[in-house]
Amino acid sequence: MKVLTLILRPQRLEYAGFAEGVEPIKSGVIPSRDRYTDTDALREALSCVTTEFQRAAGGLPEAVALRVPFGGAEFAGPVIADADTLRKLETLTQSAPLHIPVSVQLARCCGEAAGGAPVVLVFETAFFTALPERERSYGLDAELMDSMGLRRYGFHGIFHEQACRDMARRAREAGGRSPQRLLSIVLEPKPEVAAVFGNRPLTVTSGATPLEGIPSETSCGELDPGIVLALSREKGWGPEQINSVLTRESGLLGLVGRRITFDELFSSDAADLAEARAVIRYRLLLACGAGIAAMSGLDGIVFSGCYADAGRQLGPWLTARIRLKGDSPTPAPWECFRTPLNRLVADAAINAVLERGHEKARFPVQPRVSSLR
Amino acid sequence: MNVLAFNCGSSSLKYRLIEMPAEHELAGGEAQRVGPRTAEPSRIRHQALGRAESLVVEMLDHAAAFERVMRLLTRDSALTPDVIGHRLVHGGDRFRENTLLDARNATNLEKVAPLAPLHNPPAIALIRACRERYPDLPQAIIFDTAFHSTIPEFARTYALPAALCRGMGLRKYGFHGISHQYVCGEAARFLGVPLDRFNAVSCHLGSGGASLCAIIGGKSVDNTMGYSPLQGLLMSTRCGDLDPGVSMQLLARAGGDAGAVDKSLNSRSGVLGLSGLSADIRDVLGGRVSGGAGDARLNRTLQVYLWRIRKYLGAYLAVVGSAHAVLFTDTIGESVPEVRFEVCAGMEAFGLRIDAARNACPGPLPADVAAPDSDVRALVVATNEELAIARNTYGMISGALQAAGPEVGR
Repeated sequence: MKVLTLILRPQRLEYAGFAEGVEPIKSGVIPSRDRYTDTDALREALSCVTTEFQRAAGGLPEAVALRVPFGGAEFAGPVIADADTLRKLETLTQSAPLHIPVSVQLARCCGEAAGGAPVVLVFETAFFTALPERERSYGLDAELMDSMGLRRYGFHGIFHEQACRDMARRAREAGGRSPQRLLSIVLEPKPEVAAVFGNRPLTVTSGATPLEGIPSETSCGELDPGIVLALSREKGWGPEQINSVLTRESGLLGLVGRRITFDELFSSDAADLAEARAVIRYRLLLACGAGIAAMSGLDGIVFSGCYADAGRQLGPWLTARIRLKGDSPTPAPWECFRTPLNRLVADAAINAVLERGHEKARFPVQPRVSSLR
Repeated sequence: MNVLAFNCGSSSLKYRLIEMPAEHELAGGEAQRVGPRTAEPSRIRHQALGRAESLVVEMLDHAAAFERVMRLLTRDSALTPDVIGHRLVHGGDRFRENTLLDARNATNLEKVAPLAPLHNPPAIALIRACRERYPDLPQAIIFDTAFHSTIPEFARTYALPAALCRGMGLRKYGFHGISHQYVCGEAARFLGVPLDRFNAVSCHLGSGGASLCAIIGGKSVDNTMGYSPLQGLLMSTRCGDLDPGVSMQLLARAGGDAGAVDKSLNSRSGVLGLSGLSADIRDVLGGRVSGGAGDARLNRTLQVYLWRIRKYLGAYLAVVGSAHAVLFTDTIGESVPEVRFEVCAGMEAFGLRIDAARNACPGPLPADVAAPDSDVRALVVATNEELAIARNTYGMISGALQAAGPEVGR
């Protein structure tokens, strides 16, 4: 099946075309200065993308897979976009005003640009719709939370879900049983840790927004709520200014004082990165301990994301500190899987299309996992 | 040496006069409902020399409460304090260690008042009143934050711009240090482990505030509370951990009124906000009986309360590595076995196995409620913040006297 994947970032549209092979037949980035806020810009970008796709694949895509960062509590898996679905998605705009309108707009434009091919929405939050209430709930006034739709949603569900499947498959291939209790650590510019028990997430570090949890390359991560109030009182900053500092000037940038990636943080032994490395590793250790308590044990740790390679440093570091007893293997086995997001999104879309009967024969999804161990 | 230990709450004043180093309590009590008049009258429950009494007296502020307490104590010449020790919740960056009061410290105390708006101002007013009334009496300030001064930099740092953190003192300070330090010492003694080799996770679960503390070698290495007492566990009316994005949404919703958000997060959240019924988790535990819609809300409150403790317990057990014990203290930690059981059950991966029968009836404290084959002990330890204040105060005064030479101590 020829699939076009689209991943919309704040100032660019990433695309990749997949045909029969594991690797993309074509991929690229179309930058935008205005976050694709108008339909014409989106149409123009899609026109470029589909032209490139046709040139590489010899025809239009048979499905378009669109990664959507937020699907609220409504979307528990990939869905094929239709008028009703998009209307339902639009109702979530208040919870994710930066993501929903542009995703809906893009989905509508895709239908036209791809000659009527099904457009599959693949949600980052779908995996976390199964979070237990005790994990997704904050300690606020219940009516306030309900009225504002405040709950923990998670952020990297697509990576977590596939990484846990890959870990289970790897265990079976080695003649063992599928691990039930996994710590899934996504190493992206915004890292995220989830405790996954039998494919169901029990904890996740990101919250109602991606700000909570492990610090990102530019955002603060976990923060005492009193600090936001102190910034308002002592600096006289409004929510916009606080948001700007917390999302764009904090994280690794704030700790180190210059822009660095997690790849650099864990692969370099530069002295000025030592403290930031200690901060991030410590936060990961705390999240792992919490996850183990949530699952009453641990069968393995799985790293994924664009910096999955860093798991080769983190895996031994974490397992040297997490010395478990009882029925948990010690040291815990760990694996790194670096399947790119566009491939995961393509696979999710293919499965969704197949399940809806758009193809008569089952499309064989080829093994495409590259382990780093 | 008679040490008068003051533990100043936002609307109460606990005190104990303790003969040190024998740790013999001579007198003690609590001034309740200090501050503006409420439906119930202000009262002092006082106990001295084997006699207990309860007096209704007006105490419009902590200085007035102090005057009334001193009047009760000085009725008997045997109850004269030689030194006063005060608890102060937040010492900020200015006071990383406990300190003896002098003119410079007295000025600096005023500067840390806003760091804990509910607790610091009345305690500082009390210190000021003590100093004016007894200028020659040595006074020591024992900070809840001092025990946490050993938290390493990587654990106390927020991932914010470094200059902003330096300029505003934005870092984790930790709280309940006096209680965590006290139960840590008691537990190490109970288990016969030298304090400097004692590793534990201490769970101070009060009916109001609550925090967990990771302890390595008798020293604090992390605390669930942070820059302020808002962070961490679900508390009676405080929200605990919250996505910073949500804090900003609430601030925007309140039109930038930080005071309104502060009130919401400090006074209308936590157990009270989630349950809509009570700020006390014991009421929530007892209220889940009808099977009605209200039960779902109470059940959620209890689940969130327990879940936060359990997650932090796992996080800190991972940090500590090989803990000797998990410690439970203060009102909920000491008297609600269901909470201890739920957070410890299924923690065999960390070497912890609680004994249901022992936990249900721990007997005299300190008590070990872990199963005999548990690698990690589960101890219920009664906290005694006033005794901890007296110990710290006595230690500082003795040290100062020794440093001044033998003549001074005579």
